[in-house]
Amino acid sequence: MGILSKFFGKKPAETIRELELEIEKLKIKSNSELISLVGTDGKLRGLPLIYSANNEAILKKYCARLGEIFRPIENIVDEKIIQDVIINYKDFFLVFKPILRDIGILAIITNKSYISSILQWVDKNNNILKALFPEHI
Amino acid sequence: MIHNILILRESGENIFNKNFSKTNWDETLASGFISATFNFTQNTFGAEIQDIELGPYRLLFERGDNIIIVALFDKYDSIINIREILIKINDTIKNKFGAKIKDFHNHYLEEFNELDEITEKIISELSHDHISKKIKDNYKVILDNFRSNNEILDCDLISVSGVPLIKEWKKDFLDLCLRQMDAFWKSKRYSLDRIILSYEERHVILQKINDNLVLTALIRRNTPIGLAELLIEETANKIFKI
Repeated sequence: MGILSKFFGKKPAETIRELELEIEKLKIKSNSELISLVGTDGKLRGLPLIYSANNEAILKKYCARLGEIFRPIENIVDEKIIQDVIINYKDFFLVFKPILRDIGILAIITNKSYISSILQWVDKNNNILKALFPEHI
Repeated sequence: MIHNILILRESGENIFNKNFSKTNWDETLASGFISATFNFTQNTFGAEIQDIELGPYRLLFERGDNIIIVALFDKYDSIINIREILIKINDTIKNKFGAKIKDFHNHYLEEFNELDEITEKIISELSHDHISKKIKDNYKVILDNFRSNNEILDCDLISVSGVPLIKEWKKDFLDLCLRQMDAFWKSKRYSLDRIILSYEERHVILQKINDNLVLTALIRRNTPIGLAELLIEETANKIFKI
């Protein structure tokens, strides 16, 4: 499990493996370049936690930078809670959604219509993620 | 609605910030986020950011000489209109403040205070359609006539900058039309002549009349598309002649 074994030594390995498989399926379904749970602050900052990616080296590079970039977004506008960020490029979309304290989901996709699948996956698995990262609720 | 205009140097330093609504955003966090996102994008993707959706808001950018001009606005507002505003602000900055921005560290932020009035004026000017009441009344007669056809459920004129002229559209339908126009603008820069959206035997048609106006119509279910096209073409021609 690479990075996982270092940080999640005491986490239930079965749950993590199940989530990995689900993210893999979601990545294939949404034709994504990568999908990853990523740490945005504290000891998890910039780390890909549970993920599926075409290129693991690129994923780690993105997470290292993006975790830091997205950390302040929840506080940028104080009237409404920012629930997700979508950066529209000409040929692809970068999606980030904070899930728990210091943890969000990051995806790079080519078809915008699949963004909702990713956001739905987060909603569906919210309780599992909370159970997996109780210290980040 | 535009909530905020922020002008920053590419390095992330704020030059100017103005709120146009009660939506309060942290300009320091926003500047850091925007500057970091642009740097990340340049260093990794080599792609241009088109815009950023931030929850219920959208951020649109115009890059000038060493500066980024940012508008924070409601997600479903027309990108076309906001883009026009940003381009105008950029041109004005280039003419009036170009030298100061180049030599930014030898100037005080107070020297950019005039931007407050300038941005307000540009937004106010470009958020309106500038069509005289007399011409609008003529348009209204033609649209009423068009709407009286059994096949036409509703219609309106929208300026290519995204401002509805008669303002009778339901908001969700106007949003749909503006999103289509924005999508075409993004990819083809105003080159659309006609967009037909069809779903469940119902059609929405957007017909470009000239460089300034798009006629939009919601067609009754089961109306043959050929007939709908004929009706909208006739009306577009009448409007074109005014």
